Amino acid sequence: MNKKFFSSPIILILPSILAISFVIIIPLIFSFYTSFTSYKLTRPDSLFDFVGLRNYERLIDNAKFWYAFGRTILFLAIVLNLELLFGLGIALLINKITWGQRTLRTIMMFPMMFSPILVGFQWKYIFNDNIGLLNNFLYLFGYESAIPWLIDKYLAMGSIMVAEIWANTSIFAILLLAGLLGIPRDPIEAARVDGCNSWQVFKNITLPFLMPFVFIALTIRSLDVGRAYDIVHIMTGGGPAMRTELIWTMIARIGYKDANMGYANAMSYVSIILSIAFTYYFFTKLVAARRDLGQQQ
Amino acid sequence: MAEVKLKNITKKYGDVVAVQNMNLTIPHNEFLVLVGPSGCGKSTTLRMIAGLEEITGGEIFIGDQIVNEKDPKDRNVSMVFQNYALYPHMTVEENLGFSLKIAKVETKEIEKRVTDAVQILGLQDLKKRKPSQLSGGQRQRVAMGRAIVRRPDAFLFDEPLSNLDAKLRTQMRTEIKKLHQKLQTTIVYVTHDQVEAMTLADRIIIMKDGYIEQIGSPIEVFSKPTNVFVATFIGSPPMNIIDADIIKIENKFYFKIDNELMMPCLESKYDLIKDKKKIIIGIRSEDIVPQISPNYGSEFWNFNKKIDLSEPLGTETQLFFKLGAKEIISRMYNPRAVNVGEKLSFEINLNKVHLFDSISQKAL
Repeated sequence: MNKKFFSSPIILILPSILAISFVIIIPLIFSFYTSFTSYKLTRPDSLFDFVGLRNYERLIDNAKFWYAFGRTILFLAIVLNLELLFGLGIALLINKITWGQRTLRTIMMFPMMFSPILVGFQWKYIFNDNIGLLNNFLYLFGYESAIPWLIDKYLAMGSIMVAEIWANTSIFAILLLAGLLGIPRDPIEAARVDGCNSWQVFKNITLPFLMPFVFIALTIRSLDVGRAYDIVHIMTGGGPAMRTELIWTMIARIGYKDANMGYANAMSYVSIILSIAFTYYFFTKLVAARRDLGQQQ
Repeated sequence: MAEVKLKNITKKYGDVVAVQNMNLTIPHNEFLVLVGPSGCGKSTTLRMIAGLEEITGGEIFIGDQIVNEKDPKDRNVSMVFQNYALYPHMTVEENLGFSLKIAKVETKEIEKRVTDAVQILGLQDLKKRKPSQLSGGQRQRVAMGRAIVRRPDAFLFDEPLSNLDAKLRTQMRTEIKKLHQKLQTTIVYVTHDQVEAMTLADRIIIMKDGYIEQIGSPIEVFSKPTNVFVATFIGSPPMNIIDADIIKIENKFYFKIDNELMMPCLESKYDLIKDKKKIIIGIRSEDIVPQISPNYGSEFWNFNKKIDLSEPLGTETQLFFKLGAKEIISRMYNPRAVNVGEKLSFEINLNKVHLFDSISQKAL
């Protein structure tokens, strides 16, 4: 045996190499390989049917895939922005409270405690056009024609967004609240003495201090929202007529329902680009924001 | 350009009183120093003037206006904070110009004032730097510059030098004093360092537990402390405090320190002490000195003592020994090596002895 290969540094990192291999590298290589085969879940022997780039060629020509791709970007953009806005608002309000802040912080996190599947179910019944709470509530106020929240091609996407925002705004709120609590008091007081009103203090001092936290939250949530599947699957199943199909509901449908795993894997590799792009963008922003504050990188 | 007036100012946090019924008038252009141990209410007072702390009772005037209900931004005061409180995301220049930008001053005027401040404080080469790229002393300067460009009615300093090392502190102290002479503005300066207080102040306020213990010029509070607290707080090393009994022998009063030593009382003070049994004697270390030449006369008192410890400082040597139950510090101005246990003869000029009431601790 080569003595050098088993030198102590190698031995010491061997466990992590093995763990990473089994957990990440091998599945990654395997799935990447299958994206070049016509692998169908129902026919294991197709695993060895190498088709070259055909899966990729197919998906480039597949308009439905690109619609889902675009829809996911739109979904991400709207959901992230609104969650940021609401989360910031909640965090600022809770930060102002001097009495009962901890209780409120806990209450605020309630939506996070439910499984996304259950949140999906709950909102599905709220938005149901016949028996849904929302339509019945509107009916009380004399609005008699039932609104097809989950069936209308535009409303359905909006309804899913509402559910997603309800469930996850508190993640933003909690991260931004952590940021707010960490802001030193001195610069804010200095700004007040320097002539700033509340809005100017917020804009010029609080917000720059908060930006790193904003970008951390955006990075985490972009990965989270980017892989949205469960809530869509439960609420609309991608319908009506695929109007709410996002990348991952589409990939899951092709991979498991149609059992077309090779093709689905090819799609996954393309859609990973999206996650990488968002992460890269927010991370660059995070580093810039921290450098701006003179913090360690 | 204004006088600052505090009328019956009180600050309470729940049941805890931080400042009690404070009355104070700070005339225009005065350099006033608030000094006291931590928790004495000096910073709270300053923050109430700035408007960062609400006032529980009383009134604060800046100029002839009551500012109780005014936001900090409307009070036209500048504050320099202990931790500098610079805006970390702005360059030195932007930090300096920020308040003017907020006040919508013309860009040209901002540039002019920033350039002036930069020159006064010697920050020319650092204009484009961020606070994280500055040393402690430089940050301190920027913080002061930020206060200067405003041209406020009053400057408020909240322990601005306590985060600097000793050498820099001395240097900045001088600069602050020069700055005051140049700017001719009212300054309220909070510190716990009595040396800073003595060197900077036109007038010193010594505070303790929310009360003013004494107000006076540095020389006044040093030479005529109104009570034991002020006596021990101002001056370094602190004034020696000795408890003694008053006894009368053949129509003469003596302070009996222990079984061996009796300090005579000057006749001019007899009226002050004749009805008392006990007394607190205060003597500054520079007033207990090793005897160099014999002296005669009723105002000197000599005694011999064994030295417990000596600390040579170069220009002087501090000698430690026991007088009664108390450890005493004496100064030897012509230092020579002193051995522990060596017996020295000391002299005290009785005119320099401070007398305090043993119960109220107030000066007699």
